[in-house]
Parts: sequence; structure tokens; C-alpha cells
Amino acid sequence: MLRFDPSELRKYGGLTLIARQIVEGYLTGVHRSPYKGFSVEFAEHRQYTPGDEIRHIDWRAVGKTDRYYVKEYEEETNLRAYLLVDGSGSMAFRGSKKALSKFEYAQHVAASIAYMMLHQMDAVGLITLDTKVRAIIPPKASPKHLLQVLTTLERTQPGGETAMAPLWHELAGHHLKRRGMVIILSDFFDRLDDLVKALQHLRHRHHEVMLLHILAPEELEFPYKRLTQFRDLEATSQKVLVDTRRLRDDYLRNFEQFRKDLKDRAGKLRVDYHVMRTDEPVDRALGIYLSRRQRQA
Amino acid sequence: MGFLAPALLAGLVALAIPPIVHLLNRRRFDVLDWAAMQFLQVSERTRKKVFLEHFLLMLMRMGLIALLVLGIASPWIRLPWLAKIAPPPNRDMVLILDGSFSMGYTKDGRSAHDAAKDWAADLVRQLQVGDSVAVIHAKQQPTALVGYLSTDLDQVRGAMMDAPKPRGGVNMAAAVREAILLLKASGKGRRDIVILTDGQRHGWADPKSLERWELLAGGTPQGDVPNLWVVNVVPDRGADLPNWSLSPIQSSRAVAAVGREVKFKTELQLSGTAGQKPPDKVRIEVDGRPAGDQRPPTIADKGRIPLSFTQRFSTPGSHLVTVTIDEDAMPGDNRQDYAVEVMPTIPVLVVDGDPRNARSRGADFLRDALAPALDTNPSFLLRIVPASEFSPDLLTRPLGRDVATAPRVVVLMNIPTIRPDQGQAIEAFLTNGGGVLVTLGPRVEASGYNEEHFRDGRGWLPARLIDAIGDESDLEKAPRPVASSLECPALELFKNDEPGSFAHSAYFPRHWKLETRAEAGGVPIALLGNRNPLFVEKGFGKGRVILSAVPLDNGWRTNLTDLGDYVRLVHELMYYLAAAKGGDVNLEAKQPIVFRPSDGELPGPVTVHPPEGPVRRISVKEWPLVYDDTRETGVYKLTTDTGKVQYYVVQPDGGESNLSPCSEEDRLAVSRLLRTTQYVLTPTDVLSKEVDPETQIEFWWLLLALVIALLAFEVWMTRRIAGAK
Repeated sequence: MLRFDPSELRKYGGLTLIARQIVEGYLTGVHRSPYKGFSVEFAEHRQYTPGDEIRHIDWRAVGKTDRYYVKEYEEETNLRAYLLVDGSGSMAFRGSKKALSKFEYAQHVAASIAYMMLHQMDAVGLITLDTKVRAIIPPKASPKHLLQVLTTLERTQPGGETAMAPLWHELAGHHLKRRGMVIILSDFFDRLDDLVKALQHLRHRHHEVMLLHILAPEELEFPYKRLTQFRDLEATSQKVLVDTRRLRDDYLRNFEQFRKDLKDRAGKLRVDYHVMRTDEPVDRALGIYLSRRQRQA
Repeated sequence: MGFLAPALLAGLVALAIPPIVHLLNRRRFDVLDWAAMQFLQVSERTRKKVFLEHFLLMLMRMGLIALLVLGIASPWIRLPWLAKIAPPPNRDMVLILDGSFSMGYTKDGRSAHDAAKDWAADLVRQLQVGDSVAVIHAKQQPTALVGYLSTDLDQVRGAMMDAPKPRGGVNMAAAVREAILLLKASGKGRRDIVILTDGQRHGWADPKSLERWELLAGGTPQGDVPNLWVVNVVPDRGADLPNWSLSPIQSSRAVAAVGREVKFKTELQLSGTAGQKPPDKVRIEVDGRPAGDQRPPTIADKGRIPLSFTQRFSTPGSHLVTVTIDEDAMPGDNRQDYAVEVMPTIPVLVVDGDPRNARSRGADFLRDALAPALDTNPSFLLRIVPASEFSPDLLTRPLGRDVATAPRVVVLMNIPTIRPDQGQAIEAFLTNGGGVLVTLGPRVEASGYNEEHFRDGRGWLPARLIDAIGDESDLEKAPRPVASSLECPALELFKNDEPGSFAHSAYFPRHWKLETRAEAGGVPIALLGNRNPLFVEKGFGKGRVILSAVPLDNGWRTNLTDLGDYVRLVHELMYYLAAAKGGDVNLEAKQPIVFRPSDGELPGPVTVHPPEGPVRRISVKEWPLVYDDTRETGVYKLTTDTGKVQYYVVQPDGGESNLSPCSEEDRLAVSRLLRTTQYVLTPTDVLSKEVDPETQIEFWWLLLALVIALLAFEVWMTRRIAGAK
């Protein structure tokens, strides 16, 4: 069962996701749509009650049912967000037995963001990827949409070898035509140049892109001291026997360089980049991120 | 180049440890499912560097082990330049302190023994840290004062200062052998034996000592003999010092009967300058109580004054006869002791082969000689049984009312054959220390004796019986005893061949021809004029047996029983054979004391008063008590809780009284046998000898320095690699 506790975000209820740029539609400033009203998107029918405007009566329904129904519309949001969750094998890594795997952590973060955005009546979609695009849930702002997002997240198991960049290209070219916010939750263990090109593609589509770099503390610190055989989570046949103490410097240097390059090159593309450690509480990590977004706004 | 302890090179197998550990470590690793594989790639250069570092580290550890093992095996090399820079090698040293009583000769209040201890203390003081020393007190049997190579030089000094006073003789070759054995396990390059003696010829280069040196040199490879430094600690002692001493007491009887006269002999001997005035008097003591004095003549003839005295013992038991003269510069030879066992009567069982029950049978001659009917208090308790009635239990059953009258001597007199069961009983009797006299006469059947009891020398009979030879009718050709052939102490009295004596007048027209063989153990102790043995003796078990070629009666027309010496002869033979029971009481050094009370006393505690050292109390659960710590010469007094006293005397070496020093030829004689022998005077002579360039120089210290350097480098490298990690 997915461990998602909406109460985690209660304390950030006041925080709002502020768009940095116009995505689509118009900027209303603070997104708050507590009422179903006269928007462009039909939501549901309800029985006419005295006081309702006559023009909202669905006459077609009256003709079919001989009862008066009023059409309700969702207020159209000013933000359309896509959550891209990496479900590749590398995301299955967990540093210690008690810790969350990177994928579980990404699930928690994605669920939290979805809940919060839907609570603000923003539209949220979900795309899960491994060797290919596994699931695409188009963005919707309906509260009922949350269940679908969460169920899809829950059903997703990490596995397989991933080359993320081609999938991002595919998404940018075919599925994410309407500009919006693309939040990518991944460890980004791929060729950096390819990743940057894919980000360029997304940016070319005028998407606001946020990279949430999910990392285990062991990957950041490499605390191993014994001779260790590392088995690739994505390609299980690949094994490397490593004198960890001897290799640690090289590893940390390579890793830090990758992270720095990713951050720098993402920054140049005006892509937001944020590291999330799986040993940090999800709410805290998310809070820190949202606070930063708010300050930037 | 070589190794002092090459066996330790087996430790080189430990060289396999680093590669094995390395390989095992390569097989022991954690397994981790990992995501960030792309960052684990290291450059080929780094990989080669890591491999090289690990390989070097492994080689270094192997080198460490190799150097350590080589160092422990004590390598040596002959390199003159190394000899110059090498620190003085440590040495193992055995100090041999001459403990003979000549070392007690005192001049100006200081004995040679004191001088030796001071000399040794001075030497030990100059030794360096790491040198080790053992100390042996050389006596007739060497005694270890520090029985192992000790690096605790204070302990060594203390042990030397506490060395017992000198007494007894010395077997220096035995002490050197002990020292060689101690040094054999030494791993050090310098091994020294330092002998501290008084330069006396006796004990160093007298014929017996030279024989011992020769045996030692023959049995020891020259390479195994360490440096042998010989120090005369009293070089200024005069060459011809006068010294009066007493020679060991002698007596024909170690067993005597109560009230019977026993004769003792000793000598006052003068060694050194002739014409010295002998001591005023010689004191005689029995059991520590004065028993009379003797005044020797004031002028000694040839430096020897024979002394003899007789003594009667009124009580049975063990008695100690002591002769002393006044104390002089050498106190060790002014006293002599002799232990005598005195019995109420000596029980003798006579088994007579004459079936006649008449006055004329042969055993009656023995009865008349040993226990005459008119003698109310005879020395011997005699029982005569016919051969047919001789049963084994007679050898253990008391002959009288007293339990202590079990036979001491059995006489098998002219018995035709000795049955196997009788033979086995006699064998057991001899094994337990009994005395047996076998007389051969016309009734004896040789085949039975030879097959059952001689058994080609393996039986108890001393000689093979060939045949009875001689003509009873021809008295003119009858052979007579040869006086010079009388070798046994029991026959000492009969060497005099004056008319009427045994050696001069006894004749034996017919006798048994006996064949003796060296390997059979039988020794002729009296020969007849025709070179045939008259008496043959053999030790068997703890006892002894004498085989007589004649019946010791008046058979075969001998005149033996008509001679006055007949009675004395059978008395002496009986005393001699009776003394076998219970073993000797006058012992050689290191000969163990075997004590078994003859009166049937139950086992219990026995107190031993040795001549030197503390009294020892020994709990005895079963007789006999065997006490083997008899290396000190002098009197050992054993006392049971019932008050029974038994004396034992370990005889000293009389030659020690002669203080004549070694000549140059004497010293060379020993040097020729033991090539490493050098005569020195001061400790510096021993210690300051420069290292010969051709000497084997140990360089384990060089390897140790390399080990330390390599170890430091290994630690540095390990830390560097670990730090790099």
C-alpha cells in the first residue's frame, strides 16, 4: 500500500505553487478555486434549484429526462503540471534496509505534489517511465483525479534499463504539446548530453521544467570501506569488484561533477534543479523546495 | 654464510601467508545492488596504480616475514668489514667452578674456592646485557648451580656466592660435557666455557683425567666444543706444598658379628715437600664417640705412614668408624669414614650333598669352622640340611627365633644336581642381594649345572664345569693356590705365603676344571698353580656367588681342613658373601643408597642427614628406600622413626690431597685433546679477545634493522593507501 499521508502537507497548506511564467490561459495570481462555477470545462450535472440562472439549464437533458438539470463547470486552472516519475531499475536502490528506495521516495514526493496541486485546483498529470512510457494520465484538476494518480503510482514497480532522453523526446514531441509544468523525478543516471538535449526539447515546447534529483545518501557519500562487488540494478549481468576505499575519491569526484554539470546546464536552460535525499523526510524536502519556489516568485 | 639455527628456516613457509591473505581477501567481499554504476569507472592508470600498490605491499609483507625468519635463524657470515662494524656479539657462557676439596686449601685466610668465586663475580660484572650464563659446580658428579643459560646476571652472581664448600673429588670432563650440552642449544655466535680451578694436576691431567678428556674429545665433534678458557685462580700457590692427609679406610669386612674383632687400615700420606713433621695424633671415633688415639711416628718414611687398628662392636646395627687428624690448610682430607654393618650372628644355610648322616660328612667341617659346638656365642648361625630337603622356602624362613635370621649366605656343598625349582629359588635369593657359595666335589654332575644354571653365561653359575681333574694319589703334583692371584677383598688376608698358610701349604690333588668367559661375568679370584681357577666370583642381581673348584672339606685328599687358615678362609668368605645383602654401605659418588631394614620394620618416614645441606625427611611406603642424591662425599645418616640408624659413606677422591700443579706438558696434553683450550689469568683475557676476521659474524641485527625500516615503510604505505581511500 502506498504510504501517503496527506497530513504531511497540512503545515504547508498556506504555501502555494506560484507559476513563474504564463503557461497557458491567464495568470490569476493566486490559484484558488473553491467553487465550481462557470468555467470552460464541464464537470457534472446537478438538479436545478430555484435561484440558478436559467441559461445554465441543460435543455438537452431536459428533453431527454423531463427534469431540469444545471450544467456545472470546473473553473479552468492556470497551471497544468506533468509529473514524470522515473521507474527504471536504478530507482530501486535503497541504501539501507529501513530506508525508502529512491522510487518509493519519488512516489511519496509525486503523490504529495499531486495532492497539493489538486487541492489548489491545479491540473496534474502523471507519466511513468522505465524502458518506455508506461502510463500517461493527462492532467486534470478534479479532486477525484488524485485517486487515479495515486493508484497508478502505487502500481508502478521499478525495473529495466532506461535511456531517459529518448523518452523525454518522445513525450515532448507527442504527449506534452500544451505547455505546462513538467516535474521530473529521477536519479538522472544517463548520458548528460542526451539529457540536456531532451530538456532543450521540453523547453522548446515552452514547458517549465523542474528536475527533482532523487538520490540516496549512500550515492552521495559513498561510505563503503570493504571490498565490494557492485551489481547493476538495471543490467544485472554487469558486476564490478571494487576496492571501495581506494575508489571513493574518484567516485565522489565523478558523481559531484555529474551533478554539477547537470545543475549548471539545467540552469542555463532555466530549468529548476533540486536534490532530494531519501533520508530526508518527504515533507521537509518538499517544504524546502516550495519555500524556495515561493521566494523565487 | 650459514645459520646457527638452520631448522628455524622452516619458518619461511610463512612467506605464503601474505599472498594467501591477499587471495582470501579477494574472495571475501560484500555484494551490493547499485544504481550509480557509471561513476565506478576508474581510469586504467588508477587501476594499474592500485594494483601496483597492492602488489608492492604484498611483496613488502613477504619481505618482512622473510627477513624476520632469516634473522631468527641467526645468520652468520665471514666478512672482515662486517666484523669491524658489528656490535660485540652476545655470548653464552658456562662457568665451571672446581668444587673438589683441593679448592679448600687456605692461604692467608682465603681459599682457592673463595678466589674462584671472586674471579667469576668480576667476570660476570664485565659481561654485557644480553649475555647469558650458567654455572656448574664440578665435583665427582657435576652439580648445576644455575642449570640453564640465564640472562639474570644478579642471579648468577648470587648462585656462585652461595656455592657449597668444596669437598670430594672432581670429574672435570663430566662438567665440561654438561657445559657443552648446555651450550649446544645456544643460538649465539660466541660460546664460552670458563673453568675456574686451582691448577692442580690431579683432576686435570692425571692419567685418569686424561683418559676422561680423551673420551670426551672422542665423543664430541671438534666443532661442537666452544671456547674453553681455563683459569688458575691461585697462580701464586707454591709448586710443592706439603699436605698431610688420610687415605680412605679399608676393612676386609663390610659385615661383622657382634663382639668380633674387625681390623681397619688407613694411611697418613704426605704430599709435596718431604720431611714434614706428621700430625701429633690420629683420633679414632665410632659412631661419633672417641674410640682411642694413635700417635704416628715423628718421621715419615717416604711420606706414607700405615695405620691399622681393630675394633669390636658390642651392639648390632650400622656403625660408623671415623679417623681424623688436626685441621691444617686443607681441611677436606683430614677425615675418613667407614660404615660397618654389625650383626648378632650371620645366618648361613648349608645344603649338603652328602646323603650320609654321619660325622664324617663334608658340611661338618664348615660347622666346626663357623659355629663350633663349644662356642657358646658363635658368629654364625648355621643350619645344615640335606640336598633332598632343600626347599625354596628355606631361603626366606628365619633360621632362628629372630625374624632377622633369614639366611644371608647359602652354601651348596657338593650337591650332585640342583633341581630347577631350587635353581630358581637361588636365583631369586641372589637377585635380592644374597650370597651363595657353591663347592664342587666328586658327587657333582656337570651337565645339570651347565645346562640349568650356567646357561652359556646367562645363569647365575659363574663358570662352566668341564671335568674333575687331577690324581688323588699323586700329592707331589697337586697344585697349590697362587698367592698373587688372590684378588678378592675376602682373600686379602691370605696373600701371605709363609709356610703353613693357605697360599703356601694348601694343595688340591684333584679339583674341577672350570671354564670362565668374560661375557659370562665370572671372574677368577683365586688360581691354582696349574692356572686353573680355584674360586670364580660373579655378581648376580644385587648378590654375589662364588664357585669353588674344590668341595672345601677334606675330600680328594686335600690338606685344606688341616690348615689353620681353613677357619679364617671360610669365615672371610662368609663375611664377604654376607655383605652382599643390603648392598654396599661404602659408596662411590652418585651411587644410590638402597636402604631396607633387616629386622622387618614396617615402612615409614626416614630422616636423611646428608654431609652437606639441609636434613631431608622422606616418607617411605614400601622398602627399599632408594636415595640417589649422593653427589656429596661424606657420611649420610639415615634414621627411621623407630630409632634405627643406618650409616652410608660416599668415599672421597684421595688424589685431591696431592696439590702438585700442572706442568706445561700437562696443560698441552689437554690442549691437544680439546683444541679450543686456552689458559688465561684475568677476565679481560676472556672478554677482550678481538673478533677474528675469519670468525663467523652474526648479522641478525642487520636484518632486524631492515625489518624495522621495512615495517615503518609498510605502516607508512598502508596508512597512505588507507588515507588515499
